[in-house]
Formats: sequence, structure tokens, C-alpha cells
Amino acid sequence: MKLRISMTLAASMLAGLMATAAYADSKGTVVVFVPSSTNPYIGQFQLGAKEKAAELGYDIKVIENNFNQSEQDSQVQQQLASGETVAGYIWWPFENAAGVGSLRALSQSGAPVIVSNQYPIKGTEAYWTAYAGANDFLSGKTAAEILLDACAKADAKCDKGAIIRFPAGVSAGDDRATGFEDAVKGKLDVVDVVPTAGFLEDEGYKVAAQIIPARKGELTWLYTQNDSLAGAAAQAARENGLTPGKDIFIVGGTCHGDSKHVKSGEIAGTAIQSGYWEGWMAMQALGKFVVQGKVVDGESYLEGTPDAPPSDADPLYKYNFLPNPAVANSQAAYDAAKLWGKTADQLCNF
Amino acid sequence: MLRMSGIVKSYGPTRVLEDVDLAVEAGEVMALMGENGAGKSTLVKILAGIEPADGGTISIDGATVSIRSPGHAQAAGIGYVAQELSIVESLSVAENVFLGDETLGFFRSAASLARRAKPYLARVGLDHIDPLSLAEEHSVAERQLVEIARLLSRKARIAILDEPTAALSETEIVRVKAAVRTLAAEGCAIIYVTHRMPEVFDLTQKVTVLRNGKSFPAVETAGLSIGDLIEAMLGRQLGQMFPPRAAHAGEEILRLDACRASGLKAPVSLSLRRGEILALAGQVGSGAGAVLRMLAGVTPIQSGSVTLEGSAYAPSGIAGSIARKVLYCSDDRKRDGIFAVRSVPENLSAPALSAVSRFGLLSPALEGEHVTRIARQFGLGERFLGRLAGNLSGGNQQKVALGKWIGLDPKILLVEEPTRGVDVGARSEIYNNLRNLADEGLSIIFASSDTQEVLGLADRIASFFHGELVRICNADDVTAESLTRDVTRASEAA
Amino acid sequence: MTSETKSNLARLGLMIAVYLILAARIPSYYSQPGIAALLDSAVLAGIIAIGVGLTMIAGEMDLSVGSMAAFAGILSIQLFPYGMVPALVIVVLFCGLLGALQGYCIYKLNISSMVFTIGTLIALRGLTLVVSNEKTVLIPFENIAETDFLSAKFFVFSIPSATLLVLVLLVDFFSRRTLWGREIFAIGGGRGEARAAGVSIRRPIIVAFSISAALAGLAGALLSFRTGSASPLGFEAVLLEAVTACLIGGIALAGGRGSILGVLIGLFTIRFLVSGIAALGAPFWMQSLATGALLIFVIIAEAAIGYVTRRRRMARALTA
Repeated sequence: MKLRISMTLAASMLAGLMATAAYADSKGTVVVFVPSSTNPYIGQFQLGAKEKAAELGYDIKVIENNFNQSEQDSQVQQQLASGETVAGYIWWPFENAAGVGSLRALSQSGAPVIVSNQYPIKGTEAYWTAYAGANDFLSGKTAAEILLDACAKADAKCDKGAIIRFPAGVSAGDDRATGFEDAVKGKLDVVDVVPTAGFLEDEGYKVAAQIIPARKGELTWLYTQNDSLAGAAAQAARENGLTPGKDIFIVGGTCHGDSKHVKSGEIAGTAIQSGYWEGWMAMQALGKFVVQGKVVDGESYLEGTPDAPPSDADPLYKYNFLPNPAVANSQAAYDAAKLWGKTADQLCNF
Repeated sequence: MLRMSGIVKSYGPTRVLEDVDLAVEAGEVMALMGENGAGKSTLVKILAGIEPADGGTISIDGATVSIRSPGHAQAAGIGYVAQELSIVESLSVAENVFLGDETLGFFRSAASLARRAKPYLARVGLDHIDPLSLAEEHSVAERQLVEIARLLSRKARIAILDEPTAALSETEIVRVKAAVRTLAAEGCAIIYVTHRMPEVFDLTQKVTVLRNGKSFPAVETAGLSIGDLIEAMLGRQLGQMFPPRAAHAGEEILRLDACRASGLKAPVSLSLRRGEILALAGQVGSGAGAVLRMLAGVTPIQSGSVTLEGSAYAPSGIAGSIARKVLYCSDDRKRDGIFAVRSVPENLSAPALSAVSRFGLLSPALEGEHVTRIARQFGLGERFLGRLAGNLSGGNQQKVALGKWIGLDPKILLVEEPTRGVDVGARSEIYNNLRNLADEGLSIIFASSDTQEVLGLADRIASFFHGELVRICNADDVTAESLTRDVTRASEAA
Repeated sequence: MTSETKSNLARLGLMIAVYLILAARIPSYYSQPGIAALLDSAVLAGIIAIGVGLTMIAGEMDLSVGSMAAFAGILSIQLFPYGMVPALVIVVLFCGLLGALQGYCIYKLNISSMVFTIGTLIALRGLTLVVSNEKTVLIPFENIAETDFLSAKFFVFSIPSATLLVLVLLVDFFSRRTLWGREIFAIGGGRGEARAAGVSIRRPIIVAFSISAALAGLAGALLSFRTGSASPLGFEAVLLEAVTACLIGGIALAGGRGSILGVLIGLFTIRFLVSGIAALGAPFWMQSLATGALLIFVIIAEAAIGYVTRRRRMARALTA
């Protein structure tokens, strides 16, 4: 065991050292700024970016900051100061707004900057080349569609409901809630929006176990922003005598963690949001820009095809969004679900 | 120069000082004596502005002054050297000399402070030390002298020295005494609080005695005898401070053959008999304490052999010595001797928990019995039993520190400095207690730098100097003079 | 040579060793812009470490600096329309005042500053969230170029990094050569002893906490101006780095020992290490691992040297 740990240490140290040495046949180095890989989603993001970079023939260097914007700022300074010629930057700021200064500094270096994961702030368009990543409005919208679909199929009452959202201040939570609310406007009635303290089962259960009994008989649906929280809400509903999928519809909207609630039908359905493909497409966007040399104004929702990933020859838009393909709530549907050649199990269980 | 009259002070319902008068002239050293709890500390704290008086007047040079804070006292030219040193170890000596002195201006450099400190240090006999060196690099005695240098630097007209020599050995005391004389020669009025008789007669011109919060008129030291002084302090004729020696000693119980340990430069051979009190006389660092620590298992026996009751004795650690019923009472009472924040009964029963337990549980009845027995044996009054050990006077703390071991029925008791920081009354009691224990068959070895104590208490005396045993004599054959010569051999040779 | 000089030289040696080891692998470590960036990366933790170090020397510790910096950041961006210099002055003065108040409370209530500043750490964070309306505040994008002068380099120095170095020299002078500074050392080295010697306890505590808060405010404001934005949740990690810099720089947790120059050395030792590991592209936990290992190494070395010194001193005392 000890040996394994030290081998891992040595290997990562070595990998770090090697990353600085540019290979002669390389197309250059891409520097990726991300918060810490201690978050598994970010770990998947790194993996996707690395694999795509290897495919395209780039070296890649990932700089992590452990969720600390001022550290990320000084890493940017350090990187810029190194005078290294890079093929481009991928920018995932820890705090989107607070990182604008660093984003601007990166853009002034002249190298292309692809922003990912954090939807860029209005007014900063001059500081980045293109956005390639998730669209949380889209995620909310997909969740709304899954829910509306479930409501339509069932003969139960489906009107009032609540949103259990990500902690206050998490911009993904704001965007998903907005996307969801826009999509259900006039069809469903949002009576409450309650923030959790985190993203996992425990925190979700605490909130659900409070609002379900408090509004029993009133709530007909719950939107929880991810499946971990949805699973916890389903458990809280059962404990309060409600059968999920019959008395109350619960939707998470993004697959996250344990999929048993989806497979059992307790959750109305889910959608794949893949960290792997997000990193992959950010790298692809950079590759496209280097080859094509131009950015088309406007938005592009990449197609969520089950088998083939999108072609590198497609044009690069200013905004390129990761698809959130919906997955129906049965074992068979879950097993069959695929995005760009990877199964839901591969993409969701990390 | 200084006149305090009618000073009154109460803590709650307890009246600590009642109509106390004190007067000191310039250039005079006035001893302030009294048993612990007589009010000496309270009186000097009032003068130093640390405690406010409830009534009475203080006048300096005929003018009445109001002293409400340490700042007032300093402004009035009163300097106070407390029992606990006020030397900050991590600062340089020079900075310590001028610590709390705001008259030197806002900007200061180490070099200029050092230059200014030099003359003051020289006057207290510290001309050899580097004023830039840190205070922690110097001995307790030297730090004490730095405090006196501080008084000099502040041009104090009245100096209060509260037991400045309590923690020092005899040779170190000489240096402090010299510094006090310098201070007096400069016209400073000095109030010198002490328990040590020799210093009173050696150093002071007058003595003011406090007893139970009341003061007696000052008397000239010259016309005074130790007996008179003790009588004034205790309010009764002490008769003999030390109990009579043992009529006869029993068989040999402990033998050291050519033993070496850390702190000893030459092998030591000794023997101890049942019911005997053996004194190891010597200054700090003489090796007297080292022998005790070796026997207690604190430091290992490096060579030689020890025989206890006919079988080999080589304790590994304190627990080893306790198992053989050899018990050690260190000189650092506050650190090793008592649990200051625990009550007196808890302290007394701490080493004997198994003896006061039944089936592994503490038995309050057994514990009570155990505690009362020791308390009675050591003259610890009922009223002390409810208190925290740390709140007792030095004498009573020492009784607790010694008493807790008695509960283990020791065969040999090792005591280092049995009466350091203990007032006269309690001293006499402790001596009597130790003697009574010896008469019941306990053998006692104590190390002490107090000549009176060694001569008065011991049956036999082993004198030590610089890590070597000088000689072993029967106490009857030793005089204060010969003993002092033995324990300061080198200083005579030099 | 005093023991403090010796200890600082040893730490300087360690710092240079860390620098050289990493410079062998990272070319930017010996390029002019690279060194400038290293200096810049030290500004935030550096300015804050000076203040924290001062409170540690006083035998206390100001844990509220991160929240204070975040508060100052929000305030300074909100005051940006009135001009950067007035905003900076107001923020620093206000934070200094808050710090003085904090020091006064700690003195008056006679409680551990660790306890009290945990309170202010949380409360100030709350206040910051209220003041900022829970949102990151930004300098309007059309004005963001006005703050560029803070990133401009003169040789290897930028205005913020030059500020850090000047502050180190100033506070080092203050702590070493003024009455108020020496009082901070005195009450840290021995609270009871200093009081008995007539040193005021109130003044040095208030001064130390006031300086600490003012510097935290300055750091927060400078950094927020440089990036053009301030987050109410920012600067959370800076306390740990500042305290680590102090400890590696030789400031004793018990108080009374250490120097501000030492803090600067400790700070750069960490910066060289952390920036280097990040620049090598190693995962984040390598930074934590290396910093922790460095701190433990320094502590063990200090303990070993202290042991030897004490033994020598005892030997000297015995033979004297």
C-alpha cells in the first residue's frame, strides 16, 4: 500500500515535470486553469481535456488552485510571466466574476482563451475567444421538459411544486432555476425555492424532510437540480407517505452519483451532464480555433448524438453548449442511454 | 523619607491590614518581616500601587501622595521588585533594564539602549554581561540583579524588594546583597521583604515586623537577637526551632557504593540508617540534588551500586523508586510538588489512590480518613482542606507536597530544599514533622543550601561542592563555619 | 551575531535552497517577468502576514484577517467611483479603526484573541455578504483599464509588490526601533512580567490588532483593485498561508520571538514552493503536501537547534 502511494506520488511528480518539457513534434502547450481536481466532476473534466489534447497532438498543463480565486489570479500572473509560448488557454475560474481581471490578463497575451463551465459575464466578450461548456439554463430547461412530459403521461394532479436549489451564490443554481422557471411558465406553479447547504444526499434530505411535510397535499412536484438531491427528496417523500412518481413527481435533471432512483422510476427522469465531455469539447473548441482561425457569432447547441462525437470540422461559434440528453426513468432506458459513444454509466458514475 | 501610617485593607470581610505604620529613611534598608499571611505582600502592593488601600496615608518627604496605580507609584519614585520576576526572557538585558520606561523617547535602538544600560548593570555587578544578550541566557540571580539595575535606572527613591533571594543559592545571594547595598548607598530607601534571618542581620539597619495585619514599631537590627525576632513574628517564644536529634539510629537501610550520575563529577559513597535524617549540604549545582534525583530514579545511575535493605536498587524512573517505597519531593513545588488547581484532599490522596479505593472505585470514606490522618500529622488545619492547593501559603503548600507521600508509607523520603519559600512558623512545624516521622522509623535524606537548616535538622551531614562529596560528619561535629567552608571550598582556594 | 540574526540567516538559506531547486526546473524563475510575478503572487499573503505576525509576536493571533480583507475588498470596489486613492485611504483607516476596536475588546474582556477573532472572522464575513448583497462586485468594464497601473512592472516590481517590501521595512523598523513596537515584543515574551515592569498591556494589543486589520484591509483593497472585482467569499484561504509564513519565518506561537523580516523570508519560501509546484502542473494536493512537509521540517529543525542551544547554555552555566 505504502509502495503504491509513493509510486503514485513519484508518477505525478514526474508527470508534472514532463509536462513542462515541450516535445518537438507537439503543436504546443495548452494551459488549463481549473479549481481543484478533488472535486470528481473537475477530475472528469481534466481527463476529457487531456484525452482530446493527446488526440489533437497538444501538450497539456493543468493548474489547480483548490477553490481559491486569489491563488488562481497569481497562477495566471506566474504563467504569463513564464514567457512560455502557449497554443491557448482554457479558463475555468473559481469565482466567475472575481476572475475577470485574470481572464483579461490572459486575453492580453494574444493566445486564444476558451472559457468553460462558468457562463461568461456579460460585457467580458472581448476577453475570450469562445465559450465551450455546459449551459445551466439548458439543464434547467431539460429538467422542466422531463417533468412536463411525466405530468402529461400521468393522470395525477400536477400543478404546484417547489425547487430545491444549489446553495445560495452558486451561479449554476441560479441559471438552472431560471432555465427551469422559464420553461414551466404558465404550465406549473412554483410555490417555493429552497437552497440546500451542498450538492449531496445529506444536504438534500435535510431540506426535503422539512418542506415535504410542511406543504403536504400541496406539492405535486419537486425539482432538485441534480440526482443526488433528487434521490434524497424521493426518500423524504416516501417517509412522509407519498409515493414518488405517483403522488409526487421528482426530477433532478442532471445525473449525479447513484442512479438507482432513476432506474427504479422514482425520479421522473434525468439528463446526462458529463464533465468528461465538457473538458473534451473545451479542448476541441481550442483546436478548432487554431485550425479554422475564426469564430462564428451566435450560439451552437452541439447535438447529443448517442454514438459519434461532433466533428472537429464543424464551425466554432462564440457560444458552444454541451448537450444535456434526457434519459427516461427505467433500467432499460438508462442502459441504452449514450452520449457521443459513452454510456450513461460511464459518464454519470464518478 | 517614606511614611505610611494607619494603612487599612480588607478583602471582603477579612481584614488583612489594620492600622499599619511603616517609615523608612533615605539610604536605609528596612527589613519587613512576618509570617506568611501577616500582610507583608499586601502592604508592599499598596505602596507599589497594585492594590488600593482602604484607608491611611502615604507621604514621601513630608508630602502626602495618592498612589492608585503602578504608574502613580513609579511617578512618585517607588520601584517594586516582586517575588515573581518581571524580566521578559525573550528581550535583551538592556531592554529589560528599561522595560516599562517611556521616558527614553519613542524611537530607540538596541545599541543605544545597551550603551545606556551599561552603567546601571555595572553598579549591580553585571559589568561582565553583554547588554544585548537575551535575558533567558542568564541565571535567575543575574535576572534578579537586572531588576535592581532597572530600579537604579528609574532613579527610584524608594525600592521594594519582595524576597529577592528566595530562589537563590548562598553565593548568588552575596551578589544580590552587594547590589542592595549599592542601591542604599545612592540614597535609596529600601524595604526588604525576606524570610532569611542571615540577610536581615547582614543587610538591614531596621526591622519592621507585621503580625496578623498589625505592625510593630521598627527596631534597630543591631540590638536584636534571632530569638527576639522570631518571637516578635510568632508572638510566642519559639524555644527551639529545631527538634532534638534522634537518640539512636537503627540498622543500615541504604548504601551507595561509588555511584555516579549526571551532575556528579566524582563517585559518591554514602550510607543511611533507619530513622536517621541525613543532610546533603551544598549550593545549587553542588551535586547534593543530583544524588537525590539519582536515588529517585529521575536520572539513571551511571556506575556504582546502590543497596536498599540488602538487595540491589536501580530504579528506572520515578515509578520504580515509588515501588520500592523511596519517595522524592522536588524543590520545584509549583511544578512537581502540588497540583495547584486541585483541592488539598485531592492532592493528599493523589499518590495513594489504590489505597483509598475499594474494588477499583474511590471510596470517599477511606479517602477522607487518609486525608485527615495526613492533615493531622502535618498540622494542616481543617479550614485549609476545602481550598485549592495553589491558594495556600508557601509553608502549607510544602506540607501538602510532603504529606501526600506519607500516605504511601515510605521507607526513605528524599526531600530537596524542604523549606524554600516557607515562613518561619511553618518551617519549625515541618522540621518537627520530619523528625517525628524519623522517630517512627522513616529514613530521610534532604538536600539544602540553608546552613541553619542543615545544622539544625540533620543527624549526619554530607557536604558537597562542585559535583563532589567533600566529607560526611556527625552533625554534632560540624559548626556553621566549618560547614560553610566545606560547601564553598573553591571560593576559599581561589 | 545575535541568535536572531543567525536564525534569520538559516531561514534565508532555506528560502534560497527552495528557490534554486525549483529554478532548476522552471525557467521563468530566473527571468525578469517571472520574478516579478513571484513577487506579485506574494503580495496578498505577505501584507496580511505582516499584521498577523505582529499579533503573534504580541502573544495573540488575529484570525479575522481573511474576512477583513474580503470586507475591505467589497468596500473599496464600492468606493471606486470616488477615486482609487480616496477609496484606499478610507478603507484602510476604517479597517484600522475596526482593528483597534477589536484590540480594545480583547484587552478589556481579557479573553483569548483566538476566541474573539473567530467571532469577528464569522461576523465580518456576514457583514461582507450583507454589504455586497451576496454578489461579487465589479469595477465597470469600461473603467477596468484604470487599474492597469497596479499590474505595471518597473524592473521586477509592481506597485503592490513594492508596497509589500516597503511595508515590511516600515513595520520591521517599527517593531524593532520604537517604544510601541518593543512593547508588543515585551507583552508577547511575558505578559505578567511586562505588566509588573509597568508596561501598558492595552496599548500594544490595540496597536497590534489595529495594524493587522489595517494591513488586511490594504491587502484586500489592493488585490480587488488589481483584479477589478471583489467577492464577498474571497480571501478565505489567506489566513492559513499567512500563519504558515509566520511560523516558517520564525515567529513563535507563544509570542515574543521572531521578526518581520523573518516573516518575509518565510513568505517567499512558501511562494517559491507553491508557485513552483503549480507551475510544474502537479495536482493541487502536491502544494499542500509540500507546504506541510516544509513547515514540519522547519519546526523539527527549530526544536533540534533549541535543544542543542539549551544544552550548551547549561554546560556553560555549570562550568562557569
